[in-house]
Amino acid sequence: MERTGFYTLFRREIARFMKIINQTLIAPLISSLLFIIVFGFFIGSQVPRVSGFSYLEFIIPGLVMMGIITNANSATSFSVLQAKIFKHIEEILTSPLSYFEMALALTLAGAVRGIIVGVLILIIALLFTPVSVYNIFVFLYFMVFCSVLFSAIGIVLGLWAEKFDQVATFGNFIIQPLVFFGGVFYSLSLLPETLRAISYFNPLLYMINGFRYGMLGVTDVSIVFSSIFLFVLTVLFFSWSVMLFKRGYKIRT
Amino acid sequence: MPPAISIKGLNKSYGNFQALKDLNLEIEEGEFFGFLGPNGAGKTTTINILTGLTKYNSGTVKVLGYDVTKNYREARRLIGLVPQEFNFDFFFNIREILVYYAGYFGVSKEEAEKRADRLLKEFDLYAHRNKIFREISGGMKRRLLIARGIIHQPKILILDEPTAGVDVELRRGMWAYLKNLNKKGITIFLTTHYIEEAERLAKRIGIINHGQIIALDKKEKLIEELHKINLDVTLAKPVSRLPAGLKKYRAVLIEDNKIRFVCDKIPDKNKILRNVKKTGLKITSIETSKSSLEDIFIELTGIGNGKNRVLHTF
Repeated sequence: MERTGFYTLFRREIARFMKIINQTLIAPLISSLLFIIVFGFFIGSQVPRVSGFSYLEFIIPGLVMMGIITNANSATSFSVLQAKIFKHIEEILTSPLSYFEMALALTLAGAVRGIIVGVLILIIALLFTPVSVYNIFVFLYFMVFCSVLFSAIGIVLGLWAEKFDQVATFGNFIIQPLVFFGGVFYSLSLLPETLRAISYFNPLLYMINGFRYGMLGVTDVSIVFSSIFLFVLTVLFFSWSVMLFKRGYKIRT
Repeated sequence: MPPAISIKGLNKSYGNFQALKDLNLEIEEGEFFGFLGPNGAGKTTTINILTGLTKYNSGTVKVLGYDVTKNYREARRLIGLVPQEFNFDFFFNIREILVYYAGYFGVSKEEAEKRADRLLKEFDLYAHRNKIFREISGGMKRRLLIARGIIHQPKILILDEPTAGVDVELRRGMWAYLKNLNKKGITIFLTTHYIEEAERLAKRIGIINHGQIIALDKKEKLIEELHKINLDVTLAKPVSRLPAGLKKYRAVLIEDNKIRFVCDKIPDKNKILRNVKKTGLKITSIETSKSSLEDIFIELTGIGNGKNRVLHTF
């Protein structure tokens, strides 16, 4: 294990998103703040309690997950694509880092951005409503693994993409709708039968509900299944990212 | 001691295009090797295979005994690369670029910072250390490429056209610097299409064309062996190809109306001229000259006459 090299790449990726903090940390906080104020505060006060919680309390775990997922994903996808387009990915490729270390350092740094955004959203939420943690292990598990999963997906996406447009499209056309239909703003029990059945095919439903269970102790799906499902997906996508580095997919001619 | 670089039977294709054809090359430790060839000959492909940026179809490539595929980490640790294109991250200033790069090779942050500052001063970049690479001049970027290539103190430095587009003064400075590095024991693999550069710096030279090495020897020997006397015969009328009657000579059509006879010793001018006349061509003037490395290069690679004469001198 090239410890210094690995840690250097990890540190560099974090330094990278810290240099554009307005875009990488502040912007997601502002959008979360708007959701909290408009949906949670203004509209939420008119909405009946969901699963025994005020509407604002109910959507906070979902908003945190939304922040984690979108930010962990764009951290790595944009970084990898930029490194590819401007060719400085060659700096890593000519270094003695193993392909596993390259993928791991990038994945973990992207996950850190997801986690920072998640924690900051929680802090902002505290200004409006008490925030509780029902089960700290479940809470941490879903926070960390979701960050790692979407960070790894971001690497795959960044390696595959050739234009920034493609990365943005994936975020807007795939991740965003899945997050919104994944139960951030509602409980499945509010949906008619058909829509509920369709919702079970949305992988993000399990992540959002798992995290909500960690915070509030309520969930629409099995927590055991959600945990295993998340773990398997994480291992799968991370292995895929390592394999792509190894194969030199779109990075070595 | 294993050789610094050992390439055996290397083949590389990009789709239907075969970039390298059964390439064999061995470079000893401490050598200053000049790798010459026209654009598209396979120089960068060879370099990229050595450094891990390009995959290859078959053959073995070793760096100080380490296979670049099987022991890629050990091999890469020993190599410093100065690429042809600027491949810097514009998110970081030039000092940070150096420090991070050294870090990838296991150099601690403290030590990397010390080395970065020393190199920045050495390359006259220290005053610009807080700028991103887009804010510095082309010559500075070239120097930054070299600084980055050596910050982890590699045993082998591979340079891909390091002086492309660099002014004379800076080029001379770089030459002196590279010579000095070589004196300190660093093996240097220099790719260039400036023949003068190879002639001045390299002790051994390889010439590559169409993915094959067409000449490989010590510089002096290469020049000496091929140090022929050229007899340039200017014709009254242009011809489309060399007349058949002259095929027995080493003759090249260097211009439409100029044939160059490459002779081993003082040429028997009269005999050659008689033979030219026999083919029915009219001569307007003749001229003799000694060949330089440039002539050898032109002759071997066929640049200038549109033909490709491959000569094996080894």
